[in-house]
Amino acid sequence: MKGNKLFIVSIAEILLGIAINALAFAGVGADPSVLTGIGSGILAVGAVQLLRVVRLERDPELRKRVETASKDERYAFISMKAKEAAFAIYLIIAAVLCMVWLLLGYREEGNLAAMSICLLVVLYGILFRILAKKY
Amino acid sequence: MKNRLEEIRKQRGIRQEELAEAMGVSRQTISSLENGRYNPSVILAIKLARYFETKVEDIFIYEEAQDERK
Repeated sequence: MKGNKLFIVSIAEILLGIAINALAFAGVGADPSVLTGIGSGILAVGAVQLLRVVRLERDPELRKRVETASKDERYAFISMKAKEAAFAIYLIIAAVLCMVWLLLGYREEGNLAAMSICLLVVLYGILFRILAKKY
Repeated sequence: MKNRLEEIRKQRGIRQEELAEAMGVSRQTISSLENGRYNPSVILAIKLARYFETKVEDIFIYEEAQDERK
């Protein structure tokens, strides 16, 4: 049932991607490369999803393993911890890169990147407070 | 937290794969539980106890000295 739904969604994404690419090819919009990018992205997502659905349909053993993994409480726990750690490490790396950029003399770009990181941290803090109350 | 999961499972002649399937978790989760690398949720602990027809305390042994929160 879930596989069928995903199959239909994948086909719809592929068709939408082709349609957007066709519009870009016909020269619709001021910059057709934007439409090409969006269309190709949607097409690629649909194609990868479709391949996954077909692979899972053909291999019941794999499908069972994937279904178990998606419900497994330890996987969920590990995934949550990994996401937390990945965000913290990402922030540190991004901050160091910003400082390197500024030290190399790219003041405007460095400041813009630093502001973006600050904005991300503020947004993270706000969302964390809201979600912490919810859960 | 220590546990007797491996001991009880082996006593009953059940494979990790069978237990994992019955609990709706992966074999790696059962392995991690047995090695003490992962503490189960209350739901999984109760499901394990019911599966082995025993009490949660008979499988999982809580020792206050090991409480990480202190």
